[in-house]
Amino acid sequence: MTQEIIFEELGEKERVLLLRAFDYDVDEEGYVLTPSKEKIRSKENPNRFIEAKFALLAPGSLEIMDGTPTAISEFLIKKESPEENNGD
Amino acid sequence: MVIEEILVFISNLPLKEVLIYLTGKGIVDYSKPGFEKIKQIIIDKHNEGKYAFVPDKTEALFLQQANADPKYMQISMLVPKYKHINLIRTGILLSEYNKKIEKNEEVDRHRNRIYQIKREIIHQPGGRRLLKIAKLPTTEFFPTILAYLAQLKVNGYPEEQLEEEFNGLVDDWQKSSKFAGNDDDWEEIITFCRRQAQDKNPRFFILALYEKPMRIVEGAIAQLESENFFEEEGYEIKISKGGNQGFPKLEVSIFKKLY
Repeated sequence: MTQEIIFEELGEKERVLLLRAFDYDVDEEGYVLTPSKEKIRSKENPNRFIEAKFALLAPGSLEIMDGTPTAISEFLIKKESPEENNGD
Repeated sequence: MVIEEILVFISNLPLKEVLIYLTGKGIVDYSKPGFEKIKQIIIDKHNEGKYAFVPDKTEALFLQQANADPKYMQISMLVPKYKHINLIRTGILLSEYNKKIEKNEEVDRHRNRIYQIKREIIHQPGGRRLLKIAKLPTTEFFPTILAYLAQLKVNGYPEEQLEEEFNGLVDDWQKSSKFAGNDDDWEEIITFCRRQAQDKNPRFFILALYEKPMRIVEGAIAQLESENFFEEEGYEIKISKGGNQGFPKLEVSIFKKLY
């Protein structure tokens, strides 16, 4: 049976500490930086970069996504779909 | 506190508490000797896959539970492979915020949030159409559209065609729909139906809320039926009454039968 995801909020410092555990970082403007120090482009709006405080930090191997309702919905739908859960 | 003590203390805490504890101790990175063990505990806890960190926990929880919303369940069943089903789920969130505004609950906050969500959607590529999809669950016509699609399914429409119909409705449900209000009379309903037939619209809808508009719509439909209008134009008609005692409603779906 698939484990239900628990949603939590994190303060700014805690988000940074979590990101740094996976060798990500946050720049002075609050944008998430990859281990190679590049900003991450939003999948939903390619003209924007992902800000740490508005990001979805997905469980499992850290995945950084847009934290908008549409992106969170998409993330949930993938988690709920039988294809995704095969082999769980 | 020495590293070993920190490791023992955090090893049984949930990830969020670990992060709060560590930042409270002034730990901002893992550069000091021995901190790589702390880093590994955080990685291991995150990799357990229990937690997702989001900007707004309440909103994320609502979206998580929206998979049990009857309207969401119905659309997921009717068009399970629909590419933009996430927008329907978001629309159910918008609908919830609208309900809170109607109940006078934190009106400004909810209005602002609706505005933000819509702005985020409209800035996506193809955003105007995406916004139409997200707004659909917030309209009174969404249940009518679902009932219509369900009827098509009963009539044997394959899934791909239901999806095509749904896509079509996203674009033109407004011009295919008539909301009968207190000020409408028979003639307006009849004119609407005749115009839809002239425009060769394969389906159109009428929705009436409360007794008086319901009677007007029923009267207009009865008049058109007595003239054999629907039969002559090749339309099938489905009328359903619903709502509740204080909020009765009448939904009329008129559509060309393919199968």
